[in-house]
Amino acid sequence: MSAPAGIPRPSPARARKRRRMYAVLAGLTMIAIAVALVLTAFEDSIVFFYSPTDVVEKGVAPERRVRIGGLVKENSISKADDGLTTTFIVTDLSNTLRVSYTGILPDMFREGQGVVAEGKLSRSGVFLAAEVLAKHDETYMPREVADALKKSGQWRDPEKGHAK
Amino acid sequence: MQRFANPTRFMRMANAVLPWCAALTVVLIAAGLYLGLVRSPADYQQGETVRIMYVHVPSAWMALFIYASIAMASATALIWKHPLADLIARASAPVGAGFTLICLITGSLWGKPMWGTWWVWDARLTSVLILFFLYLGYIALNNAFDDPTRGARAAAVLALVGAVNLPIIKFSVDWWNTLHQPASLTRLDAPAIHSSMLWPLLAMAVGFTLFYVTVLIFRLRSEIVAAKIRNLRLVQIGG
Amino acid sequence: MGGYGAFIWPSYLIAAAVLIGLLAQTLVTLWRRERTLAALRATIADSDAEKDAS
Repeated sequence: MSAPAGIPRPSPARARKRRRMYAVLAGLTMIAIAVALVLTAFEDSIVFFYSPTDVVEKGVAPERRVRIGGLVKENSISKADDGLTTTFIVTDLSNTLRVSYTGILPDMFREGQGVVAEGKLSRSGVFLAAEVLAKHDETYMPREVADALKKSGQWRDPEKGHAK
Repeated sequence: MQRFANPTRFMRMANAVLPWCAALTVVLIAAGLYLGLVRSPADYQQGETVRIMYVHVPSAWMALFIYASIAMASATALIWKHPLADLIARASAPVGAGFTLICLITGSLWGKPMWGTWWVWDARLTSVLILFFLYLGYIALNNAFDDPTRGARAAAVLALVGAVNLPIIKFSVDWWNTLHQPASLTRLDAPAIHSSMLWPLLAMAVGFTLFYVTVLIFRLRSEIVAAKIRNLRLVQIGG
Repeated sequence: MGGYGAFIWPSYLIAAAVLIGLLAQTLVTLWRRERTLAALRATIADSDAEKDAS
């Protein structure tokens, strides 16, 4: 029962191992493809918020509860006389959306910072937010470093940088 | 006893590095705590809450790293039937689940003051929650069978299937709009973290990794003792 | 902690609790199993000795 000399045959054990390896790889590939298809199909539900451009291009039905997000435009925040209602403009650097919100804003709500608002688009085109969440970027540095960068003109403005 | 020859040699090596790992874990986590809580400055935007990053981010890395280790060990166990691979995967899972839990809770404690919410169902947060349940499912499945080899095989398949979640977690912040911000460290254009905040982060990350190795060695020892107990009981019944 | 202590300290405490809990559970399980193994070996040695004696 010996193999002919000079022709190495894979042993049954090694062949089994190879077969198991192909099975694992094939299984993983199938699962990856399936998951990728599902994620693509449900992309609209996975996206946490729409940008002002999405609102303009895809159109969001008025009176439907959605989330929109972007950067709070510089110098666009204004408080109403009641001291609780805030209006501001959300921009994604190509389109803007005016947002009105009554309530307490999170600590990180600032001009030039990211924001996500949940609410409804009114028929007049103003977004009436029921909830406002702050979204911050991935830069971390001490205040002095930020000030020094701004002073020396090396500051990378989030509105010109990697904003979505 | 051929099956146990290899683990014995491995455990001899593991036990030799164990005291070093344990000592370095303590040193690095102590250094990370000192740098993170005392020496590092407040962030220009987030103020003092940036200190939560020094436990949150390393825990998140460990959650992913340990799951990836389990998936690779599971593939090794399924394909090459390596007895150690099953034990490593099995012994890693509770540690990974613990780090995922830390990541979720500290993230929530960070999200409330900064974002204005404890939790949102965005792609990043949801996929990490799924990771936590994958860990729990893996542990449960591993213990669901009377025959430990059958449990290990079923759990290994689950670990491999769940591995598709890893790239989803990693790239969720790039693929979809999320409330969670993108990665700071793997950005190619410019360092997004100042060095005074990077060092405590790295000290904690290495400290957590060594903590994992230390606990893993103890748990492997424990698994091998449990296997010996099982074998002796079989001998007792059989003889 | 700039008014954020109520969020920062619990983060560190929970992380410490989980990690120390994991380590403790690991060591206690290891110790219990080692004791079980020693006891099992002792009973087997005893029964073997009895067999030899009879």
